[in-house]
Amino acid sequence: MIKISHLDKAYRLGNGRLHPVFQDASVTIPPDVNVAILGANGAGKSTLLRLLAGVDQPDGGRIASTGSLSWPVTLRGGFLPVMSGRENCWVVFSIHGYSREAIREKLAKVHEISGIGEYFDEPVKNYSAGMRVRLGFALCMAFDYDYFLLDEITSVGDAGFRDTCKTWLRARNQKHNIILVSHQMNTIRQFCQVAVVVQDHKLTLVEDIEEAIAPFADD
Amino acid sequence: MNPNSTGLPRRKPPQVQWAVIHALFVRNLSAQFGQLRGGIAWAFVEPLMQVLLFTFLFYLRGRHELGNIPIPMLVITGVAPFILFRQVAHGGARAFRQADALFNYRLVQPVDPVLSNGLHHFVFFIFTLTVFTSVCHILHFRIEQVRFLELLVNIGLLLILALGLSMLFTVLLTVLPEARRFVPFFIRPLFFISGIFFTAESLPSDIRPYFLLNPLLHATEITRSCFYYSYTSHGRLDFIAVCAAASLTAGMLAMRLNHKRLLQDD
Repeated sequence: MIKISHLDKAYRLGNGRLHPVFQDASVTIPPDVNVAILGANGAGKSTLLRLLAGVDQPDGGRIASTGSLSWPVTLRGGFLPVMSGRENCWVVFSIHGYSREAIREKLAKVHEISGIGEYFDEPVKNYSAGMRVRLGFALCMAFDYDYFLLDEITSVGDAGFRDTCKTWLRARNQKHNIILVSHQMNTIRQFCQVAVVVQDHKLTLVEDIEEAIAPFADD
Repeated sequence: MNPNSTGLPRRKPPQVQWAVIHALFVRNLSAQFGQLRGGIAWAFVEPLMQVLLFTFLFYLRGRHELGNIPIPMLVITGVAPFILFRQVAHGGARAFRQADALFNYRLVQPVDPVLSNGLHHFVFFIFTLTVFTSVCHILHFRIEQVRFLELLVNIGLLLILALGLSMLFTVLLTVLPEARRFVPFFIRPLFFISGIFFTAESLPSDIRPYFLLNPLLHATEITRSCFYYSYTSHGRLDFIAVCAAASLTAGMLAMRLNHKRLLQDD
């Protein structure tokens, strides 16, 4: 269960003005469901993931969770471009305090899940968007979080990657949940049971996924 | 949150921070090895050029010693601490920017790349000074002693001074990116007033007090006196200590007050 209460968050823009994202937003996400986050562009979906992940700090209010949350897995991936995929993953495992042997095992696993082959040892700056996302996803799957925060990652990548995603998320689903930002309603239907709608600086839980999707569906 | 559900070892905050700094440190080293052919040797090129240049200039004027110190040793004891100071004070903001992607992981705090950059250049400083003084010794340039502990305290204080400034610059350049143009104007003149190719004793006594407002000159003076007991040093450790404390306090305060701004994704 994740309880967000009276959340306030504003960003300072380049011109010095404050841009409010959330104002007194509250929502409670029930346990053991996969959650879609829906909202227009710029409504604050990615900000919500960053706040959930603890990467960004709220200006006011509280976020409490009974489970551990991953970092937000995004299109950019959180990789340093000059380093190879392997080195990047090494840095992340190392930061998280894994032992040398554990890291070696995990690296092999990430290499396998990502399916990027020889590119694993190439600098990340040479990766295509799809390859970067594959690596980002594979890296996160090597951790045992209760919630995986996925931001738009299903929108790039080929059918093969989407199948990998599905397989892994299904396998993980027994024990773990995902919080997914996506504009692809089919993906959302496949994975999510409830939705949190971000609108007008507020958060609303919609328990019927079809009802939640309806205003955003383009077909 | 239940930290055990991730299957990760339970760690105390300093252990987490050390793991992050260490990972960044290894990353920096491998980047430096990888990017340029010759790798680590490039770190010695700059001090080597300075030493050769100034030794040449002094020898042209028929001087082999200044303040009772052979010229190569005079220059290396000046230029090595200066490079340490410049790379730490000036390089912290760049290290912060380059580690940007890692703020995606909540264990990584804005101060970590800045500290890791400090560690990186401190290690390089130790290497540089050891290699150059050893070479000077082998080439029979006179070295009278090595007061190791005093040298370490002196450089430690200089490092703290530089770290405080690098935190201030990191905040400044994040809040006001235009300032990037001005920082070098602040750092570069220090090369000429920090005693790299002169000694405080050789300055006219009426302008010396003004030069001694610069803590870098103190650090240079003390570094020299650590190798030569016959050297007339005007450096004072307590002066560097006060500057270091002020700089670190200001730097940490600036980081803390701008914590959210530093983590903001842009």
